[in-house]
Amino acid sequence: MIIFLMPFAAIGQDSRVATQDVSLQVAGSALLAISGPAVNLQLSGAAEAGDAIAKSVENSATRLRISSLVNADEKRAISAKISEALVGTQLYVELQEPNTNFVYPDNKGTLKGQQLLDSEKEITLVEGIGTCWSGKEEGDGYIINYTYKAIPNAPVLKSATITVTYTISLVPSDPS
Amino acid sequence: MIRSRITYLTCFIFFLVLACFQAKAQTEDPVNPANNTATATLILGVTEVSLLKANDGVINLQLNQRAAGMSIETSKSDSSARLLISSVISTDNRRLLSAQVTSGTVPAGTQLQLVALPPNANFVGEYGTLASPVPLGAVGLPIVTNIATCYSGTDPSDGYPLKFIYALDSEASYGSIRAKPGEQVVVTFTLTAAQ
Repeated sequence: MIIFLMPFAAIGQDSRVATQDVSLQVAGSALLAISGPAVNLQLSGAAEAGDAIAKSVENSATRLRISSLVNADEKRAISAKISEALVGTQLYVELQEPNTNFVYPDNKGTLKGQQLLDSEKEITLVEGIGTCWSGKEEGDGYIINYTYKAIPNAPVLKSATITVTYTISLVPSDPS
Repeated sequence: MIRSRITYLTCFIFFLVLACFQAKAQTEDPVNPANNTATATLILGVTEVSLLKANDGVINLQLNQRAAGMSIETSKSDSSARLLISSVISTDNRRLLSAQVTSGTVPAGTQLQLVALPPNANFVGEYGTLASPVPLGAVGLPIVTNIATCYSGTDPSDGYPLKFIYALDSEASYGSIRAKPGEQVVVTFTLTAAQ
């Protein structure tokens, strides 16, 4: 009787249990885009001597689209800043409720209402944003409501062409 | 031999340039830009405004006689007129308001002066610097300077009160005065950018 002992035969031998490590990763995503026509806000002049000029003018024609994918308890916020200081006037912005195409509307965050924009610092418009996306059809996204106001009693009112920069960023979680 | 080396060198440079272009294209992915910012360009406009309006009433100033042995009245004044204004400036150059006689002649030996008075509380903005009374003539003289963005309101009592002072010309001979009833003069106001 000849017996062959083959110790290498144990390698790769099947068993009733097999394991495989699979790494599952979801890439975080934070994208913003503006859609809609050019925004032109004009404080029109008086028609007759003694009349006031228009004190404010509004525009809600544009939308801010968003795609946000967060991990675990992460939250994001959207802030805005203007490119230059205004003279004799103020620009307010309010991000308003998006339409029904918004996916995961519970995660759209807390809308902070009308905020005065500043050229020196970021102003938060929405906070507590989770995983959500707005869609990219016409009319999708947060409604951007601009209000352009003359400062009462300002001696000089200057026109300007400015850029508003919206930024979505991760908000550090509360250590408590 | 030399020609083949030149050809080889040309091909090498061509492929090097091509490789550079490909490397640049890979750093800018226009299909899926990972961008967490968005920008919107806004045109913010304020229309310049420069409007004036005087109320329509005719002002009657008459130097009447007094008792025998006395001169005629030395002056008469009227502050009933109002000048409405709307002004919006876009630079630091303030406006000025000037007045001049554009029709008719002030009778010889007399003088027509004008001063703008502080407007009422309905005035919004800075109403500027009010000048002292100026003698009106064919050349415009400023009656208010340093006018910025403002408006007066349109009620009957709004605007700059205009005080017209009709008086004997202290620099003229009393003997040069001639009675001339009903001489009508037109005063024109102009709001301009400061010079």
